[in-house]
Amino acid sequence: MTNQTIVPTPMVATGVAQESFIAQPSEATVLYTPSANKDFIVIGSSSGTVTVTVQAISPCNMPLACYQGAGAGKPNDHGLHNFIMSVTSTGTYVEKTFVIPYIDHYVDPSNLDVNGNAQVALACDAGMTTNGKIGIFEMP
Amino acid sequence: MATLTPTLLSSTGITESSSMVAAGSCGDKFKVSGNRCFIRVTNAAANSRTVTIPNQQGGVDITVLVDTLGNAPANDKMIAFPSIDAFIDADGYININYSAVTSVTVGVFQLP
Repeated sequence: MTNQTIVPTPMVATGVAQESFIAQPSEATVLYTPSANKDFIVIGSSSGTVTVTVQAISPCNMPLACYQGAGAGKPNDHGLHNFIMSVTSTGTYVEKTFVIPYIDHYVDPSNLDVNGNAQVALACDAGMTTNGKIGIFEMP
Repeated sequence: MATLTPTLLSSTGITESSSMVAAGSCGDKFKVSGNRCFIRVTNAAANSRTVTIPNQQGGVDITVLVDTLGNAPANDKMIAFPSIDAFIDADGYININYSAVTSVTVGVFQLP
């Protein structure tokens, strides 16, 4: 399986043109290395519903907070609640901006970056890889 | 000077454009809790705009050029703060000034 790694775009005082850093995912799985409480993600759709799913890796003691993503709620094979986010276009391009709560529950020790840090794997559905866009941003 | 209310980013997601308003003719101001916030400014005019956020401690102001609609996506800028305390005035506000406000929208977004 081939993954696409996205390095979060640093948010800076000189300004960041958001749309310059949002693009259609080239692979069905997008990996990124999270920074605690400093990341946010933008997904967009130009047609229909696009969805990203983040597998919960470890149990969460606050399950309600762990599956607040739109359409979420179904536990994965391990009985853990995944994080799911969707956005639906009815003709014009639309975006949704969100944060993943309790990110520690979603970092995957089997997906390490070049520095040995565990990454988060965002599984993109077919809509994402055909009509969707994604951007990941990191606050200072 | 209009007062903006930061929109909290959440796990349920928001549409940023829905939280943006016309820039105030005398500038805008806002209060934040915590230091993880950013401003988004969009310019739909044929002339570029300059956004200035004054440094309240005598340091360097934040100055960002927001390009013309014809030069999209450079007409839509997100601006973050390297050290937010330096930009908070005596009343607890961060001030935003614009070179012109016609066709300019602004929003303030806060991470939890």
